[in-house]
Amino acid sequence: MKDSGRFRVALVEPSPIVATGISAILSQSGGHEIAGIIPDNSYMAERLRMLAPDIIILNPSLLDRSRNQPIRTTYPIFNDSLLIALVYELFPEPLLKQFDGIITVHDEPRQIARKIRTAMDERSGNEDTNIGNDLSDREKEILVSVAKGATNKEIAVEHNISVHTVISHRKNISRKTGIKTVSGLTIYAVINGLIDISDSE
Amino acid sequence: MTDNTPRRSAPGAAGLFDDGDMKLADLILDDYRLIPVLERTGIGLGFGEKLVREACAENGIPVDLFLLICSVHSREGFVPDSASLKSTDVSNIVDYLHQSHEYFRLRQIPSMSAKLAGIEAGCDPVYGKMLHRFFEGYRAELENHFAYEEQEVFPYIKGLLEGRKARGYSISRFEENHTNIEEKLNDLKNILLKYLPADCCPELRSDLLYDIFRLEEDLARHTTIENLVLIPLVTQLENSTDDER
Repeated sequence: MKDSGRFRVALVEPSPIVATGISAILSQSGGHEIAGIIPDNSYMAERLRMLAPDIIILNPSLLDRSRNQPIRTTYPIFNDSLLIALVYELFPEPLLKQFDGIITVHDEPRQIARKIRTAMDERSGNEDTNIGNDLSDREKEILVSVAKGATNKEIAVEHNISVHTVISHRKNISRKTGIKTVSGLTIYAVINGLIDISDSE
Repeated sequence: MTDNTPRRSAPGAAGLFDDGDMKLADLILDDYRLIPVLERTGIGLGFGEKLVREACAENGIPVDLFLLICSVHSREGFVPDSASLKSTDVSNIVDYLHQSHEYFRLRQIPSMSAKLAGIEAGCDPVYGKMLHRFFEGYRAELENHFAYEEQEVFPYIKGLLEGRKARGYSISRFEENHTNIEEKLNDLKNILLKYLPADCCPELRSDLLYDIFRLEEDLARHTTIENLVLIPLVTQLENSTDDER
């Protein structure tokens, strides 16, 4: 995900009318940004790699199926993103089954957003996405250590938790505050009175 | 390449950007975010009723390239198709990217830095000092990022254009070194927006926030041009240089 917290979407669709329509629907539904629209399949994998999308929405007619093998074998890049088929003609069921989700041009905007969200939840195994607002006391303690310049390992020892837990706390701190760098988190900690400026010198 | 190339009609291209036979003023009036593109391509203001094609010709910038850059800036999700890339001259792209670096370094950052200085003066000195240091950290990161491109990548590309291929380097290394310069800017945005106390220079802060959002978007487009135009073109160039050996 990008810093903005929105999912980056790559759209692989030859029709400008359809591509523009889907882009508009996704922009309005919030939480998505269009990283790129790819109108043809030349260098498709390379272009997708450059865009590094969280979600690929793809018209299956652009796939090279001549080799008659699973699409994720032909296009390993698909494994890095959520893969959604955008369908307005008939495709064989075994092909569509290889996608994480399917949207059609007849779907209502709200349906499209919901289908993408469902596909995402299923793929991530319904990860805990609790959207807490304020930092928990534990997170504040971790934040203080981070601001003082401690490494993950040092923080783990200090608080008697695993490095994995430290990383997970840090991710949550950054998600809630929107701040990722240590120097940014230090400013946050000082403004919120969690540390004294002299601690960060 | 120049105006005698056959017109392309790229899939997904919006009419506005198809050819240069429209007024330059209309292009800008339609999307004010293109204003910095003028400066970077050396097209001065005061162009009257000139067509895009005319303004480009006078300033020695290929019209296809100008429209390609405008498309990247104006059209969300625009990815250049292979046909429009083929008609693009690498050295022109390098020139444009260089001008963009100058614009960011010498115009955008100093203007933001001046606003921040006002905020520093009007807020708790503890916060002021921290913000100052943070912004200077960002500036240094950005300068480093540009310096790498100016001193390593661009000379390498110029060498390729002259038929020399520096051994032990390839444009794929550029991708590896293409560091993430968005993080600090994003953090600053959140600090100014959410965490600095309300009475701390609200007007200047709003102005600076506006600048940050614009810079962020502008830098993202800059990166798009590097990733989707420069790198594919240089990769082709590398392959053709290999073939000649």
